[in-house]
This record gives sequence, structure tokens and C-alpha cells, in this order.
Amino acid sequence: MTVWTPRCRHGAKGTVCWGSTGSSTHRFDPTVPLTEASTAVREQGVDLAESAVRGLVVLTQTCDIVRTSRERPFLEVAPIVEVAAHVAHEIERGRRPVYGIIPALRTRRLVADLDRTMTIEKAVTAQWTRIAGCRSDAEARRFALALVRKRARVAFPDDFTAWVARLQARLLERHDRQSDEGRALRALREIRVQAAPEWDAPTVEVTFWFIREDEAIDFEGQRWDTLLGGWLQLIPATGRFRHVDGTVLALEDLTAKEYVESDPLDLDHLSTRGVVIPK
Amino acid sequence: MSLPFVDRYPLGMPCSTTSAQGAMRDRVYNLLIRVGGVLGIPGTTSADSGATPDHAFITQAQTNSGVHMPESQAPRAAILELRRVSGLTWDQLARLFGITRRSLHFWASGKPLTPAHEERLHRLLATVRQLDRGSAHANRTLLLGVHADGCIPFDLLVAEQYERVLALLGPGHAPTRPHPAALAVDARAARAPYAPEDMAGALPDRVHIEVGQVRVPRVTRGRP
Repeated sequence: MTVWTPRCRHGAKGTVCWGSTGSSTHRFDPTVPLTEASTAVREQGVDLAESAVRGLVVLTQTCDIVRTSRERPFLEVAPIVEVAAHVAHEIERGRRPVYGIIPALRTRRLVADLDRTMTIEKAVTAQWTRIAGCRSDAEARRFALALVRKRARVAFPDDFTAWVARLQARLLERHDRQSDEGRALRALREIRVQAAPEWDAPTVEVTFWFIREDEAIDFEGQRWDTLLGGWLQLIPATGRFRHVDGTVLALEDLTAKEYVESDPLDLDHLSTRGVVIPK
Repeated sequence: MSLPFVDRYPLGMPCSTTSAQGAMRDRVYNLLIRVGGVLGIPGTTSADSGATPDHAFITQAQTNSGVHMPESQAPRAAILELRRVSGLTWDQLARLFGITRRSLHFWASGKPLTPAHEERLHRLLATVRQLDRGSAHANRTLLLGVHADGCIPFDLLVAEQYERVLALLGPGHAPTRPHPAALAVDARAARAPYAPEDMAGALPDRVHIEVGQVRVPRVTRGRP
């Protein structure tokens, strides 16, 4: 096993361990095996399966790794798995939160399987060779972003995800097109949504923040408010969502309070939710 | 202009002096009562049918406010600055203009204002800049608090009595905020979130290629 050390930096995640003989262990119920690995060993009277993987990536922050093994004996690791080239691209863009791109292994199409994290004692890694996985502050941040995304996705209420589906479909449908709206969508940095007083309230005021890139003040001669009007038409006030508003603005125009009190519009793809948008 | 607005901010306030000597204000308020109480004029420049008819304010457009309005100060930016500095909510700011909140959101997104609204916007911004205490919360508290003579500065702003507001509250002398140097392009990019279309189209399925070798691990069970 080769262990990849990170660029040492207080607080940086991404110590990467990689090698040719890694394994990932998980527990299962022998009466209901859910994976090929558990099905393969269920007859042997065990409830643990050990699957070969391409390596392990350490998710524990560097500042915790360097503490003494007596104080902090454990490391959190995730298996490194291989994916197809187009999948690696999707992971890099953040479209597949199950996985995290490992910058140093990007060209080998090897990524972290964040669904199968496990705990090991530090001593297990003592004999492994260490290789840097994140080679710069920027790479460490992108890797950390993937970990945060996996753990911090907002659980929007079901009625919200159903209600917002038409807007979501518009975003996905128009984004790649060479249309004015497609180009405008590509000039958006982020979409955030604020629910007041709270998501679970009987009636909710919903405000969408369409955060554009700083330099995109007017979009190719088109005014943002025209596009905004089209987007808001897709989400008319209905049900609990009785007040709906939205603004296109730059990040510096959003107050810190509004940023903190809103959530990124992070939703599973419509196709995975079985949602069909009427034409 | 909606009726609740007129009802909430009656015209008979004791404060009378404005930078326009009240002439413009009186005319606007007479018009507001007539529009809100009788006509309910349809067709506005905003996307919301409940918005104030912009032409109701056209009489204001040609006054000389005396407020400096540089070309670079777009109304969109002015609205957002007004909001940041004043600490007022979108709803409260909309009431300052007698429009709906949605109309204000559209203005902030770049929808053009009538000259009258634009003039009013810059007057408000100039006033709020002068009374700025350096904290949005402090400014909001100041604007919404009841003054010793019974006036609420917010109501005076609605009535366009900007000089009266400044006389009541005085200049703010906000401390200068630090202006840190801009981040490098790469550093900014490293802090960027995933793109909206990727965030709104997450694929949760597992699609990697398994190595395919499975074995039973060596296990030593510990006693509880």
C-alpha cells in the first residue's frame, strides 16, 4: 500500500493513500446481502466482507493526523475506485456527490468513494508509502469541497423539490445551449434559496438569489430582470409557498446575513427522482 | 400604490421641511390618495400587478433634487447599497417607494426605474449615507425608532422629508471599513462553489468499476 501525504497545512484535508493492494471492509446482514461482495462471502458464516480497492484516501484533517496516536488513534479513510473518463469529469464538476475527485490521481480516473468511508487505526498506515494527493491550496480546497458537499446537502422538503422541479428542469435543459438564456445561466455563479420563517412553517416566503459573476452586469445586452421574470414564472406561489421572490445580483451585493440564511439549490437530478415535467 | 401604504403612513405628520420645500411631496401624496382610493390603475412596468403605477410619479421626474448622481451609479447598484447600508428589509424598502417587494427585486436585477423613482432612490441613498452609523443593524434601529417628538424617521423618509431626517438623526460618522486587497484569480476560483446546473442536477448513483476481488476478513471479536 502506498500512502500519499498531503501538502502539510494546518486544517487541510486530503492525505491520500494509494497503492495496488488496498481493501475496504464493511459489515452486512448475511440474511439480506445487498452487494456483490456480501453475497460472495455470505455462505461462510461471516457478516464482514473485504473488497479489493485501488487504494485509500485519508479524509482526516492534517491537524488531527499530526496529533499523537494516543490522543487521536484513528484515521477516517475512503476507498479509491476507478471510474470512466466522462464520470471523472462529472465528479470534478460536482455533479456526483457520492465521489470526490483526488487531484493527484485525476489523470488515472481514480476517485474517492465517499459512500464507503471507514475507520482505521493510525498504525495501520505505518508501513505504507506516502504520496501527496493535494499539491496546492487550491487542490486541497476542491477536495474539501467534495467532502463538505457529501455531508452538508440540504434536505429540502418534498413539496419544495416538487414545486421547484420546473425551474430545475429549465436550468438543466437550457444550460448547455447556445442561446441567450444558456449563456446567461453559465454566467451565474450560484443559486441560493431562502425560506422564511423556516422550511417547516405552514406558510413559507421563498426568495431565490441568482448570484451572477461580478463582471456580468448586463448580459450581452440583455437585462437580467427579463430572464428573472421567466424563471419566476416557473415557480408561481402555490401551497405553502405563498410568497415567491428572486433577484439577480453579484456576490458582493448579497449581505452576509442573507448568504448565511439561505441554502444552495442542491437537488438530485429529476430523472433520479422519477419526475416528469409536463411540456 | 396600495391603500394599506397610504393608511399606514398618514399625511398629517408634523414634519414639513424637505429639500424640495414640500411642493413635490404634496403633489405626490394627493395623487397617491386618488390612485389608491379610487382607480387601482392596471398595467405597470413591474412584473407584479400590485405594483405602483410608475406613471403616477411622473410629476416628480423633472425636479432638481440637487443630489449628485454619477453615471457610474446605476440604480441597480444604488438599491443594493441602500439596502446594505440602511439595514431595512426588502419589504420596508419597497414601502419607501410605494411599490411591491417583487418590483424592488426586479429593479435590483436591472429593470429600469422611472426618472421619478430614480431621483427618489438617490435622495434616499444620499440621506442614508449621511446618517450611516457603520452598522446596518444600528441604522435600521435608528430609522424605525420613535424619536422624542413622536416622529419615526422611516415615516419621514416615506414622506420624502430627507432634511428633516438628517436634522433629527445627525450625521453618522461611520468608521471607515477596511478594504482588503483583491484575491488572486486562482484563489477566487478555488473558493468558487460548484456551478448551479451541477448543483441542481446531482446524480446519486454508484457507477465506478469494482476491482472484483472479495474475501472474508480476519476478525477478532472483542468482548463487550
